[in-house]
Amino acid sequence: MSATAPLRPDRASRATPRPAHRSRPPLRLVIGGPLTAGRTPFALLVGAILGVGLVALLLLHTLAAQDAFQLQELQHRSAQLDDAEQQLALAQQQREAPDALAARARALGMVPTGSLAFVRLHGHHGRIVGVAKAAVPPPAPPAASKPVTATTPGSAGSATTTTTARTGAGSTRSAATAKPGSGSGQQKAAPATRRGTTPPAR
Amino acid sequence: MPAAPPAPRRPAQRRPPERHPHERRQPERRRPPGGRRPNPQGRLQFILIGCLIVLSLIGGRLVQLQGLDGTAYAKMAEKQRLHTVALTAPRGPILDRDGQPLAETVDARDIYADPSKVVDAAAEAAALGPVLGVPAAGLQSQLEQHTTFVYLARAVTPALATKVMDLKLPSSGQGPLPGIGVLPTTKRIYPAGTLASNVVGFANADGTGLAGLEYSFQQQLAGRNGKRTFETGLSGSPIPDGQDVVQPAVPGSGLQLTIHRDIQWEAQQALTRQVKAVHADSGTVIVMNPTNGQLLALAVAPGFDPNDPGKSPMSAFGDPAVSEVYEPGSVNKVITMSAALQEGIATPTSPYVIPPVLHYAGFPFHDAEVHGTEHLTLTGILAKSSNIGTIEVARKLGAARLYHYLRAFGFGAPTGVKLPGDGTGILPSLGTWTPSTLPTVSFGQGVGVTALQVASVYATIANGGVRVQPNLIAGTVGPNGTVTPAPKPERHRVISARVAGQVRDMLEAVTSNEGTAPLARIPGYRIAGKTGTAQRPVNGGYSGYTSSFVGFGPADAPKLLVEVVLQNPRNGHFGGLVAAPVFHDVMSFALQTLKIPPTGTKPPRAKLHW
Repeated sequence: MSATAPLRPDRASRATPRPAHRSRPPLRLVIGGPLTAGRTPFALLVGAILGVGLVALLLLHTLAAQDAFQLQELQHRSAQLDDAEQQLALAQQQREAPDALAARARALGMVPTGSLAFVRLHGHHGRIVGVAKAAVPPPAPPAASKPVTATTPGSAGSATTTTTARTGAGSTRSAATAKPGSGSGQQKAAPATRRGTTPPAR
Repeated sequence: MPAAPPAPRRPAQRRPPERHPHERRQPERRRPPGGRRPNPQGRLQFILIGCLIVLSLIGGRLVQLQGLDGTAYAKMAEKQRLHTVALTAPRGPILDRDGQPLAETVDARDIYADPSKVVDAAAEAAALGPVLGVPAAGLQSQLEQHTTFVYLARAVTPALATKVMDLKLPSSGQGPLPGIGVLPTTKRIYPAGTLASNVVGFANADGTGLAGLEYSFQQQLAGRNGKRTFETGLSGSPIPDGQDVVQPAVPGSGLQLTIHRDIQWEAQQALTRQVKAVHADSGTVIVMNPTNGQLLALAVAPGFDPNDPGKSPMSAFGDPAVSEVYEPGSVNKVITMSAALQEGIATPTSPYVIPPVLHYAGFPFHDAEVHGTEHLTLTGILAKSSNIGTIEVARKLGAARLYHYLRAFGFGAPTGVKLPGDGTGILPSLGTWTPSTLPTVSFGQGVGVTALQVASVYATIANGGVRVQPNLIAGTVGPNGTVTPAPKPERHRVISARVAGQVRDMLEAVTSNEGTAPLARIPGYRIAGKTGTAQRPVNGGYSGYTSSFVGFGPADAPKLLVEVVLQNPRNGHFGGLVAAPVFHDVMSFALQTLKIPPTGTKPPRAKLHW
C-alpha cells in the first residue's frame, strides 16, 4: 500500500496513455523507507496481540484460581450450614420423640385418656360406640390441684378447656392422622372423646 | 553486546573466504606476543570440549533424572501435590413406619493432638479441659506422650470442634492451639434414645453394627466407602484443571420398619412400670397387626441406651422377644383346642368331666386352683385354663396330630423377622416324645418357645386361621429417600376360618368375669385372649414363673394383637393378674392411637359349664 502511494500523483499528472516501461525507475527508489516503516506497526500489532493474550491468559488463570479459593470458601460455609441444619434437625427430633412429648404434656397437666368413643354417621343415626369417660388424673402432685374444674358446675368455657387438655398425649398426636371409617365400609367413625359432645359412660 | 559474539563466529563460519584477504590475518597474528597460544582452532576445540563435557554432564543428569530415577521423582512430586481424601459412605438410616428416624448418621468431628507440636502441654490442657468436659490432668498426660497422634475426643459435634479451634494460648494469645487439630467424621445417633433400642441395636464408632438390625443388616446399611484424589497447591486448595479423580462412595441403604413409635413408647413405659412393680427379672411386649404380620412394637425391659451402650451389660443388647426361650404354659392350650376343633374331635360346647387330680402316664396332674370334680365345656376348659381338661382333649388328639399343629403354628422354626438371635425354641421332635410329653406339651410345659412365636400363634387365630409370617421391615430406603417396599410376607392356612372363629369366641370367654383375665377387658371393645402362668425351667429344675397374657381385639374383627410376657415376677405370678393389666394399658393406647373403633356387637353368651 505505502509503496504505491507516491506513484499516484505521477500517474495522475502524466495521464493515462503512458504504459508500464516508464514507471520502473521510481520503483527502485522507493524500496527502503516505506517498507521498514510498514513493519513497525505490524510488529507492534503482533506484540500487542501477544501481550493482550498473555494478560488475558494471566487474568483467566487468576480468575480460575480465585474461583478455586471462592469455591473452597463457599464449600466450607456450606459445610458449616449443613452442620447447623443437622444440629437443629436433631434438636427437633429429640423434642418430637414420644418421651419428650409425653413429658411436656404431663408438665402442662395433661393425662392419658382412659377410653375412646366414636360416632357412627352412616346408617346408624349418630350412634355412639365405645365408652366416653373423663380422664382420671393421676395421683401425681402437679395434676392434683386442677381436676375438680371439669366436673363441678362452673363456667362452660373452663370445663371444656380442662377436659380437652386431659385427652392425653397419645390421642392429641394421632388426631392429625385420624382416618374416619377405617373399621368397615359403611361405618364412618370419628373420635369423640370430649365430654361436651358425648353422653355419659354406658 | 550484540556485536561481540558474531566476531568469533564469523571467522569460524566463513573461514574459506577470509583466508584470501591477507590484511585481516595480520592483526590476529600480532596478538600472540601477548603470551597466549596463537592457535584459535585449539582454543575453540578446548572450549568446544569444555562445553561438551558440561553438556554431557547435564545430559547425563537429565537422563538419570528423567530416564532412570524419573518415575520415582515424578511419584514424589505427585505425592506432594496429590491429596487423597476418603469419601465415607453415609450409613443408611433406620426409620419407623412414619419415616421418623430411630437411627441416623450425622457429621461429627474427631479432635486430635500431635504432641510433638504441642508447645505448652499444661496450658493447652487447661484450656481444652473445660471445653471437652474432661479433667485437664488426663489431657495433659495425653499431650505429653511421645507420639505424633492421639485422639482427645471422638465424634463430638461440629459446634464443639469450632469452639476447640477458637481456643487461644493464654500466654501469647495465639490460636488455634498448636498441635491440636480436627478431623471430619460421622456419628451414629439414635434420636429416640432407648425407644426400640432392642430392635434397632447400635453401631460402634467405626460404623460396624454390633446389635439388633444394625448388626443383621450391616452390609446393606454400611454401603461402600469411596475416595477422591486431587492436586492441591501449597495452601491446600485444589489446582484448577489439575488431576481430580473421584471414586464415589456407595451410600448405604436404610431400613423402614413397621414399628409405630408412639405405641412402642407406650409398650416400653407400661412394661417397665410393671416389671418394677412385680419385681420381675425382665419382660417383653409385642404389638402386632394380625392381618399382615407387621410388628408395631417390640418392647423389652430392661433395655439399653444405644447412644451410650457402654453403660449396659452385654446381656442387655439382645432382643429377648425373639431370642429368649421359655415355657409358654397355658397360652399353649389354644393350639390343643384349635387342633381338636379342626380335627373334629370336639366342639366348643363338648362336655368334659374334670376330676380334682388326673393320673396320666404315671404322673399326677393338678390344676392351678384346687377344685372338686367340675363339669366344663371345651370353652370352659380354656376360659378357666384347666390343665386336666386340656390333657383330656390332648389324649383324644394324640401326639402326632398335636405335633403337626405345633409345627404348623410355627413352633420349632425361626419366625423369620430379621433380628439377630431369632430362635427356633425347643420343640422335641416327635420321635423323642415320652408318654408324659403329650400331656405336658398340651398345656405348655416341656416345650420352649419365644414370645414372638406365641404372638404368631394368636395372630393366626385372629387372622381367620391364616398364618402371616411376622415381619419388622416395611422396606428399604434408598439414598435419595425412596422406599422400596419389602416383599409380601409368606402366608399359609393353618386352621379353617370357621374353627378360628370358634377359638376366637372361646378366647373371648377368658376375659369374662368367669374367665382368668377380666383385668384385660377394655370398656367398649370385645377382647379375646389367654393367660399363661408357667413354671420357669432353671438349671434342670423349675423355679419361679413366667406370666403372660396374649390377646387381640376387637375380638370379632381383630385389628391388633398384644402379647405381654413377664419373667420371674415375685410380687404375684398369675398371668391374669400381673400381665393382663399391661395388656390393657398397651391395647387401649394402641386402639386409640390407631383410631380403631369398637365393632359395637355383643359378645356371644359363652357356655362354660354343663
